[in-house]
Amino acid sequence: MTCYIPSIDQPDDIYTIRIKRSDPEKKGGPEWVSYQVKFVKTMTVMEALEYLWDQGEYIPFRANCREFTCGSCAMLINGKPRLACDTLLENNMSLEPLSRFPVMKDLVVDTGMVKSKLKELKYWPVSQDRSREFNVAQRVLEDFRNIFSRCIECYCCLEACPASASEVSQFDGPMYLLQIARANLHPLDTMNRIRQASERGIWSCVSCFECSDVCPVDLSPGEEIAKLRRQAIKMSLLGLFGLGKE
Amino acid sequence: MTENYEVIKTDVLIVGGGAAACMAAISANNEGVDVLILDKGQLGKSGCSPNAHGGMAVYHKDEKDSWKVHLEDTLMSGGFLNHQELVKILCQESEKFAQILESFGSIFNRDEDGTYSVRQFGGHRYRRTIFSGDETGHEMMNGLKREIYRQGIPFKDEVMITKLLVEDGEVVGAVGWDMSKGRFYEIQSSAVVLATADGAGIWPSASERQRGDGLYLSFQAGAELSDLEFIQYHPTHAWWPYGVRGSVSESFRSEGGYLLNSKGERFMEHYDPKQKELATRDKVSVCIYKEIMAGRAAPHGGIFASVTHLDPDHVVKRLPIIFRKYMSFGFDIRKQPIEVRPRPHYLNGGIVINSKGETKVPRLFAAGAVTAGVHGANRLGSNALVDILVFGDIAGRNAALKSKEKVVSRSGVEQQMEEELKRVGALCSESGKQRPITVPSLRRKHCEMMDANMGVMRTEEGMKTMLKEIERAKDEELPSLLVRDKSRLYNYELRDALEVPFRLSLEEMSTLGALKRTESRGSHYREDFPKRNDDEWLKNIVFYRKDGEMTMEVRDVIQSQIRLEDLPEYFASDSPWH
Repeated sequence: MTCYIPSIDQPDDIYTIRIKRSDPEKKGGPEWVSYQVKFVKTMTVMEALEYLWDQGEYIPFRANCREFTCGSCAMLINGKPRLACDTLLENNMSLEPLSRFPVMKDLVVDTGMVKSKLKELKYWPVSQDRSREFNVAQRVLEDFRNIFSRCIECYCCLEACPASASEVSQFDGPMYLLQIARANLHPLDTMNRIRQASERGIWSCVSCFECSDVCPVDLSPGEEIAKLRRQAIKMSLLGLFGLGKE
Repeated sequence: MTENYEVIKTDVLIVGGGAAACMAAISANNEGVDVLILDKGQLGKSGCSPNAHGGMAVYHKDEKDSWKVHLEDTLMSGGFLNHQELVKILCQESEKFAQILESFGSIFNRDEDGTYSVRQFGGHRYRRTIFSGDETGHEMMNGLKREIYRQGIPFKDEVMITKLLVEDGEVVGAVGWDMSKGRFYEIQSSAVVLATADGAGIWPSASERQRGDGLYLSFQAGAELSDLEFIQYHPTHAWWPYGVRGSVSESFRSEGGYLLNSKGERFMEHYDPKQKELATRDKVSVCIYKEIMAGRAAPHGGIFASVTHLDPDHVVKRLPIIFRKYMSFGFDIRKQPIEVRPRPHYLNGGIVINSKGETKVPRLFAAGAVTAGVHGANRLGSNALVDILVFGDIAGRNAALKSKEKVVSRSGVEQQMEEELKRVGALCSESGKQRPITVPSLRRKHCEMMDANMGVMRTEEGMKTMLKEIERAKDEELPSLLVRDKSRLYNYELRDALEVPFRLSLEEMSTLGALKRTESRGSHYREDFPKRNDDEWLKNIVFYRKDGEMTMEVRDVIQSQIRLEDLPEYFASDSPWH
């Protein structure tokens, strides 16, 4: 990858960024290292890291699409989970890996636990007859288009959520509940997703909406959780909790 | 002593992690064989599929539309260089995939009557492109990823394939480097499907994630590559404000946006008074280049794109993604023009395959962007997402069938493994390197030179300059390439160094092909030969290795479905060199 700002050789300023570096192959814990980067107006954090690569400082971080559709480059920027490609560079910024995942090297974390969790949740449409033709209500289509299709699985909300911070928490975290809400709306899905959402801790959500604040694509998992709760209450009032979809 | 490596066994090895790879894996797994996906990035996030915005041309909804009309459109756009048998399959098989993806968990837009909504894309005569908002590729991957999880198909992220293992002319496996674990693998397989990206990243493409891995690996193994001179430039890529990446979609212009030069003139009015900004992609790209070269570029070297004359509410409503994208950079497109520039988007050529997804090399299959033939000289918008599904499925299925014939011998593999690990080791060693070269310097220079000499407008002189530079880099820089970091764990310096030969060989073939083709067609435009020449150039330029040497061959196009003279519309079609 190359930082492709053509005027990088005539920078507007020189900025300093601090990066928390860790290397499992070397002794000693993580350490903060400062770097000088050439700054051109409207440059992003990702471009600062790519600029360092161009200078031969290959600090590992994940990047793919560079236009906030893949969610690979999430990291803590000044302590907040954000996408490097979607954050304008400022002087004295600090960059560190996401804190809820094991660090592999420098800014790269091990996200393997997300894979096992999604599998555990059966986040695909669970159905006996998957080739069945179906129709989709316009309201459902709207929800898919505006909410469920857009989650880029960057894990920023998992990082920000205080309710799932503790390892003993009953709450899986906002993104997982968003995926359950999606599965619930898919016309082919026959699983009782409301019961699943209950088991996965919708009642432990503290409605702080930190997840919505950090979402780089402006989704609100907190609101979807609230909707799931309302549905759960309705179903339990109707005594349908254990019945219906299964 | 060479380093240790781990042996992994599977029936079918799938290389890649986008939609073609996932589709191939699912179809192979359905045949009941063992499948393993190795992705250089992360499955579902890597490659180009997740951020394909447009849609897929799969639904011939209009009564007058049919697979045959779709085929004609594809051929006309492809300058008649397409592999017609493949295009026929593409247009016939495509219809079933919307339903298949929805059964995996995707959802596509539908009209009130329950049928799929369709859009019209440039060059298609009918509306046949289905979509999901403007994040179709992302939604497609949403479904495919879920199906991979549901079927429990094993995959490993962040494994780069550095070499295909060939025994008695057959591909019997591959060498993989697991960046996340810091170790090498010998993968023993009975069939390999290459579903990697195309090679547009050897030009300064916006994300550079198309590094040409599959093209180089297959070429080294004995496969044929064709049509490499055809690189599609998207006319309006984000250029300034810096930091914004990706293309500024065609909708920017179709909603009434202007393209303006430094004098504030709508220059497209001079070049194409009728179509203006809405002329075809190839034409707009050439015209923008002409303006830039005539010294009428905007201050940052691009061309202004402006919607400031439109109703601000209309802009927000009709261009929500673009608006949001620029807003997050503190830039209000309702008030200020942006700068755009044509940038490399898609390499139309690639690995030659037949209708079973087979390459020239036994046990080696390929599918998707890495292949040639479907798109000819110029890809039609929204045909790419169909291509990767249709041929991913075909390659996966046929690879599974082939893998049931077990490989007889792997006796030479151990030595090949040793040689490959030695090669990697040598990259990290200083011995014999008087003046070591680092990767970024070479990379940046070559990207810029490919853009200048092998970009939208080409001349014999420019291409010869490029060839000279490639020769020089091969002789002087390649042997002196030094990776200073010896680690095998997330060592991106090593990754980039391993990609240098991909780049140089692809650059060379692309330039040689372009120099050979003394005409203009599709996405290949030569200033010294600005006209299309159907008498002499209804031909594909093919490269392969013969006795270890690169060989170029010019082959006639097989017009098995439609002959050029039977399609009068072609001669009337709108392109600057027709």
